[in-house]
Amino acid sequence: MNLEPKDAVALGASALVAFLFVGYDDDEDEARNLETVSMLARESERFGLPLLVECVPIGNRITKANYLDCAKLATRMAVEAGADIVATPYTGNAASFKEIVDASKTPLLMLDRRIDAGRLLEAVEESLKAGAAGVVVGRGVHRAQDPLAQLAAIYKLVHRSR
Amino acid sequence: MSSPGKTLRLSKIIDPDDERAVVVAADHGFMLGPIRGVVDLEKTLRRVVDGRPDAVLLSPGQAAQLNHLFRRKDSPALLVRADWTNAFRDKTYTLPARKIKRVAVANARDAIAMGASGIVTYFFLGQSDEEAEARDFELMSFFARECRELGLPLIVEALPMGERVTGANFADLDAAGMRIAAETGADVLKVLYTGDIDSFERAVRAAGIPVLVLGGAKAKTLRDSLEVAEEALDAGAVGVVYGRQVVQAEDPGEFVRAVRAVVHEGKSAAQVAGGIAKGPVRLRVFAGNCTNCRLCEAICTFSHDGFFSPSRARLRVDVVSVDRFIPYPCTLCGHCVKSCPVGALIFNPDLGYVELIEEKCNGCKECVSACPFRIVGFDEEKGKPFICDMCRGSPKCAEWCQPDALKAVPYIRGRA
Repeated sequence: MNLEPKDAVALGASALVAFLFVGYDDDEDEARNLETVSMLARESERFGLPLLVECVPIGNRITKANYLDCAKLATRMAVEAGADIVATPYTGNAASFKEIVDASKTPLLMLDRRIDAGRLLEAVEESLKAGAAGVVVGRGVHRAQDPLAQLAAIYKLVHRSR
Repeated sequence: MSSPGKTLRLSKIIDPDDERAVVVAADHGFMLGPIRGVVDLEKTLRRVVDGRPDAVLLSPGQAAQLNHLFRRKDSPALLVRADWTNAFRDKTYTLPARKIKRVAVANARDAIAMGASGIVTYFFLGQSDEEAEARDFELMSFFARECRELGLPLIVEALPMGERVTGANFADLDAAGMRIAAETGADVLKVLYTGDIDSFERAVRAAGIPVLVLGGAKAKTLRDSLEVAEEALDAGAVGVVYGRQVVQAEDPGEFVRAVRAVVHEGKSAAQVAGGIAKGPVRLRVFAGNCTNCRLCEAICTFSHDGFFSPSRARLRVDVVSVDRFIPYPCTLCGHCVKSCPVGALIFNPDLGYVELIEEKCNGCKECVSACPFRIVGFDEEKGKPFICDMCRGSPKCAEWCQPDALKAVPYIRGRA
């Protein structure tokens, strides 16, 4: 942890963001990660500062076969620990992504991890259809040929307007 | 010893009118992800709350999000899970635990801010890593101190857990965990049933604080769950904590009402769930008193068959060591009744013992192999089994047992 909630308040932040990974080789690491997320949740409750948790299945233990279940586990763990918003990578299809949305019952944002820039808009549209509340985009925007145009297109999809 | 704060908050969990409690655990999503019944937790909880349990256990995140379900004056008390573990992710789970881990996720102060009437934490006994066990203990004592300061009840879920737990040491580990938690400062225990009434009664007495029994995954039907509750109360527990059975029930509210009828209204499982009636007596074993005289076996065959033949006895005595003997009488478990493919075995509707309808019996011996205690014998000449009938209400084995290793006691629940 490199920052405490009160530091974030001093910086004028509107929310805290933390990772929650599942699939660590060592269960100790997963436990510590969850402990950190829980501690941030408790502290952010005291400050009235929303906590966004990015839930990512990652590492050698994650396979195609268990990815979806692990993503559902991670997002639900974050929700139960006290996340106000969760984010998780798009699974590639709307049906499986909807399962994650339904199991979290908390605003869920799509992450653009490992999605080709060319397919990003399509993925955003699908995840919104699956019930996502929006997106957290990084590389998909700043590595696009025209980042501003890409962002405007995403914005239009998410807010269904302008 | 107990602080006013603890006393007051405890009275929201364990009903002071009858000192009994029905608690529903709904923190599964935290440990296992969205399993059946808790995917839409709010929807399930609305129905659970409708059944009026005394308390509901939630993770910190859900406690905050679903706060609105607890805002009535007569709402269930809220209990907050203060720790997390991967211990329930077994080999069949999508991401199995490689070693047992447990961390704190909220402290007593946080739980009070959420409006909780108590916190629940684990205490595992039986891990091969003793360092982990020591850390587990340390975490429990940290919670105990904080709860003492703040006047918040601490409910410890003491479980035999880990590589060193075996069938043989389970009951002892269960009892040890209960006592250790009580000595550390737990106010209430949430534990697994040891499996038999005598060892559980001893463990409850040794713990000296109120004990709630976990339903466990074994109970498959409503009736099974109610029987667990019935037996646990009989052994001195003050109530139950049911999780999956409730949240995965077709109607969670109805389920809670049925459990309440047994726990708070003193009804029997049979009265509430219907089905077979058992009793009016059952045989209680006090193995420590048994001298291996075998008079029970002798009188059993004499009264049923007119001659002495221990091999035909409807109970047996196991010799465990030179000075330890265990009588195994019929427990009215009903496995033989369930196993009979032609319906020749029934519980006598008036007297509740097992009865063989000879005309229906085809001699298939299913009941012989179904009996977990190996006390259903088979008469090769007649081609029919012989089964304990509790001597139609006054068992001779207990009557003739001089050292009181067997006693006939009322089956209907009532503290011994």
